Amino acid sequence: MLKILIVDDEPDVELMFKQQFRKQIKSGEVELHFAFSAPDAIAYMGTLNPFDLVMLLSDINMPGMTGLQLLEETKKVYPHLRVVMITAYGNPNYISESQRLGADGYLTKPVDFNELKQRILELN
Amino acid sequence: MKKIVLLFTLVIITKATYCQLQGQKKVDSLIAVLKTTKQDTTKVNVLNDLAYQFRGNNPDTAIYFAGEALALATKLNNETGIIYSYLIMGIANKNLGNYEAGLKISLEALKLCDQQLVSEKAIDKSKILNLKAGAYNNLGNINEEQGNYSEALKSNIAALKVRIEIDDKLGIASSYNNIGNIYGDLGNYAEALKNFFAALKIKEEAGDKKSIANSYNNIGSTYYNQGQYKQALEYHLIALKIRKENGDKSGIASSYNNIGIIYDDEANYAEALKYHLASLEIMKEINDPQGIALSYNNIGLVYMHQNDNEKALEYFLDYLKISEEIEDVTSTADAYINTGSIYAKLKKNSVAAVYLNKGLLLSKEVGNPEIIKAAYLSLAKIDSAQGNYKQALEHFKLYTVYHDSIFNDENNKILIQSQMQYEFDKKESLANAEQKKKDAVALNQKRIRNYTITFLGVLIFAVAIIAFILFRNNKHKQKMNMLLQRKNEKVETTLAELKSTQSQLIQQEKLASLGALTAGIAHEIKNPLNFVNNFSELSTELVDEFLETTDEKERKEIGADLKLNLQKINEHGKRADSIVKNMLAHSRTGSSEKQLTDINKLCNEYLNLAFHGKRASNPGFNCEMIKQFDNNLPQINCVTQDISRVILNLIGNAFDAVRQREIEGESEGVAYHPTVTVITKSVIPNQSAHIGTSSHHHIIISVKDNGKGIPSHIKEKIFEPFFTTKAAGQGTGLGLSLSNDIVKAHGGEINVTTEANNGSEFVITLPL
Repeated sequence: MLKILIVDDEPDVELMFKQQFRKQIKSGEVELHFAFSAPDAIAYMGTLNPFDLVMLLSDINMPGMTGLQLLEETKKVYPHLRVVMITAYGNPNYISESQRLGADGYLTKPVDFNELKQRILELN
Repeated sequence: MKKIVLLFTLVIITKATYCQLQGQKKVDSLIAVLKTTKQDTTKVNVLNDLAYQFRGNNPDTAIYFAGEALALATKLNNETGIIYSYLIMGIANKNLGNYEAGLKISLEALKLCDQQLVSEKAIDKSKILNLKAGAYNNLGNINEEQGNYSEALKSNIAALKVRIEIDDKLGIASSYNNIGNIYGDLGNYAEALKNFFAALKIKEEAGDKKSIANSYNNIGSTYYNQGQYKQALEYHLIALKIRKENGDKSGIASSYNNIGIIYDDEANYAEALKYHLASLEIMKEINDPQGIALSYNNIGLVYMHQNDNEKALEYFLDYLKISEEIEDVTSTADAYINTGSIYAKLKKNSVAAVYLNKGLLLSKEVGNPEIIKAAYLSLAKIDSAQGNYKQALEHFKLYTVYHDSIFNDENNKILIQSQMQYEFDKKESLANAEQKKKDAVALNQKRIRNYTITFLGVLIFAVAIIAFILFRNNKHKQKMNMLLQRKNEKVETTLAELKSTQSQLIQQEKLASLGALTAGIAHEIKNPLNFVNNFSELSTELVDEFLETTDEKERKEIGADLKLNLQKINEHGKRADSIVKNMLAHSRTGSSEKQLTDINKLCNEYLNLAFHGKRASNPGFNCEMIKQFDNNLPQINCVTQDISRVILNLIGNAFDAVRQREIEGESEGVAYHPTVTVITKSVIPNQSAHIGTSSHHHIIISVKDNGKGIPSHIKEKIFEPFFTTKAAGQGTGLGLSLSNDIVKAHGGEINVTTEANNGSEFVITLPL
């Protein structure tokens, strides 16, 4: 069971992921959790067994604490956790900054869900 | 301007005298009676009496009560009641500056009087005649205020005739007084004095102390207008003495006022101030706002003459405030002009021009030629001071037009005709007519000469010098002409170029701010488009699944999901659409229609947009945004996209400020939390601080940042066009300047407070 945390301030992201992964959710391969802000994500992660979560998918542009800041914080506390940034901006600054902070991937919206699914299932 | 003050004083005193002293007591007793009487003619009279009490200080209330009286009198067929209510409405409308209405109503009253006089019914003839005289009196007063002096004279003479017929001694005196006033307006002081003395004689016979004092006052004022300050002072002091004996507070205040003016003219400023301040104190005590306004004006004038411009400005602004509060359009116009003149003296010529033009506009509304004259004169002086001699000449020409329209030969002829109507003075009239003609013409010439010399000095001098030089040397003249011509053309083309450059830059600024928005908007649009794409892809897959499976339960599930997806697609499609609409609205030029706008929503939207915009170009940018919106914020009638631009500009600047501080702080390793706060508040002040927006219900929008603050030497420049602290190409320097213009155009203002290392706050004030 792959536990994945998705962080995005857009509420419809949850619906979209749930539909995209409906087969995998049904079959129990994947368990999705959603947080709508970086602080919420950090709080949620604090309630879990550190090794339960395998992947964090985070939007970069969020009001308040940004995805990049979340990336930095997460890598400090959970260095093993894979963090993939998702963003609408294909900004070279963002890409280099994410790399510098140790992101394990960088996806631009619209997300290619097939590729994402592949990536995730590879973790198994 | 001073003359006007005096004349107003004369008029006001009669009003104030009645209203203030008997004022409140009378009103209270009338209202008490009102509550108890039945719907009969007594009630009509009480309503009219009440209206009469309010005619000076509260003309709107007077009109209300007179209207009630009229309605009831009409029902009861009470003709005298109807006519009396018309009379009061005529006076009240005059006091509101609604001259046309006042004239119409008074003419109607006149008509009704004549109808009554020829009717078969048994009527109290003397009562009707009394009302008829009152109607003529109204017409006379209204025409006088409009500057139609010949009409005014005719009406007052008609009133006089009627009053002689019914032997209304006090009415006769009053008419003499009015006629004297008009002659005073026309500058015919000899006739004015004659009439005032005639009025005085009758009043002394009647023994009405207050009235006698008024006559002495008018005589004193006439001597003053002739420049005979010694006599003027003498008579004003007599008036003052009688008024003090009588305990006539408002009369005392008026005398203090007039004496103050004389001392002001004699440049005895200390005494002038003493008297004016004493007058002000009493006016405040008896709560006569028109008197207070006058005092403020006079004190302002004294300070102006002493060249204490700051103090003068203070008082003129107070004058303006009160005049606006009591809705006295003529005083308001006068106040605008005086304030404008002071600003000109303080070298704030653009502000001065705004005030003067406003004053001019108002005075044209009212149609009071004295004030229009004064406005044009002041404008001419400003133009002259600024070196705009062409414009100065234009304004001065307009001044002389108004001046002449009051004094022209046509009027003189009519004047002479009116005089001949004096039944009991025909011989003298004929002799006077001739003398008057000579006097008027001589006076006319003298006046024009005086004004030309005094106020066109520089212009004439300059023109004379050039003419002299040209006259002496023809070739030189031609050469100079050519040079001037070429220079003019060059200046004009340069001006045209500058104007076109300016509009280009403004367009650039608009585009620049649009560009800043675009990044934020791109982000905003990408999101909903993502959803549309994703959900539609998903839906296609779901349809495939639906077609593959035969399981009823699963089909139901898929069907539900499909429906949900389609709804989401619709939702996000609409979202993208509205964002594009907003963007178009922002970029559209020229649409300047006002509409009710939700400022809170605007602030919220643009705060988000600006944030995303800044983020797009500065990935590391982060800022805490605090919103404190007033839930009860009323909607504002404004040009939405213009105000949006202003808000966007201020917020953008705030973000820049905190970003700047953040960057500078990084090298020092100091912890810094960039914060931008946007506050909206609805303000209903109960104390008045300044004129303009702050004294009425308004809203404020505050954009605060905790950046480094604005250094004081920069603070005074930030609203200047093209002034920017950003690197070349980073900012047009037009943002704040345009924002300021927009807010001003809505009748509001932008104020900035700043503190080093604490940040800045920009507050927009917008009236409702």
